[in-house]
Amino acid sequence: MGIEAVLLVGLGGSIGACLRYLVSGTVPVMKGLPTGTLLVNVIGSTILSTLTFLSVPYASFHLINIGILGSFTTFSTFAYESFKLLEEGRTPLFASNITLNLLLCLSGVYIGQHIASLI
Amino acid sequence: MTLPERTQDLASIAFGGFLGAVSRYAVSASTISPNGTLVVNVVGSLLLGMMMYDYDYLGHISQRTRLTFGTGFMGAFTTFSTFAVETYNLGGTSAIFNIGINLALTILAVFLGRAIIIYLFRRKGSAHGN
Repeated sequence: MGIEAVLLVGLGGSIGACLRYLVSGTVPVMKGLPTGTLLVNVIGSTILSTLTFLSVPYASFHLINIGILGSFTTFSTFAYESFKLLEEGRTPLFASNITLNLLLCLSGVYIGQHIASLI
Repeated sequence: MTLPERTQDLASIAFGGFLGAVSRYAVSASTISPNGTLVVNVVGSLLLGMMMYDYDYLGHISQRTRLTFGTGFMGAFTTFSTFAVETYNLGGTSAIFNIGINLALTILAVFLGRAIIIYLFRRKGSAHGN
């Protein structure tokens, strides 16, 4: 783990976290669902998949893949928001939030793989 | 929100994001993937849960700290994109197991974080003779 890699991951982390804050803040809560987190998770998963399955070599793995995209998406906020729905007794929304995040993010990975194969 | 306030918020999130991403890299590079991702997701969810419920019950945590360590650090420390790509690559039964264990343990971690804060809240109350 070289110092250069660590700094690139950290720089990417700063960018990714700020982008998440800005993007997720623009999306209103829809029908009680925390759609801001859902949106960043789907976008981030699709782009990470595209870059991961790309056969063309590129140098910005630490900055973009681990740093920006790893920090743009979040599991802790997803878990907290899901738990909060359960705590408030909104079980159908709890189930919908989990299902939508899993289904759309995994579909995003699938689509990303296909985009990568076209590049 | 004024421009200087917005800049300050983003600076806090950027600082937390830097540390969060580097910490995730340090943890997940030292364990076999996708176990590293599971570890950061569960630890991050526990700490975020404690932080969010502290805001509700104990009130130690300021709005600034929530932005720096909640949105910045924990947001960057945990990751959904790497989890999704790793799950896809596992495929089949291993993928289902990876989904189940990440979901169960992170949501349990938030619950545990809440329980710890409520325990501290009650202890604080009884210490004051309430």
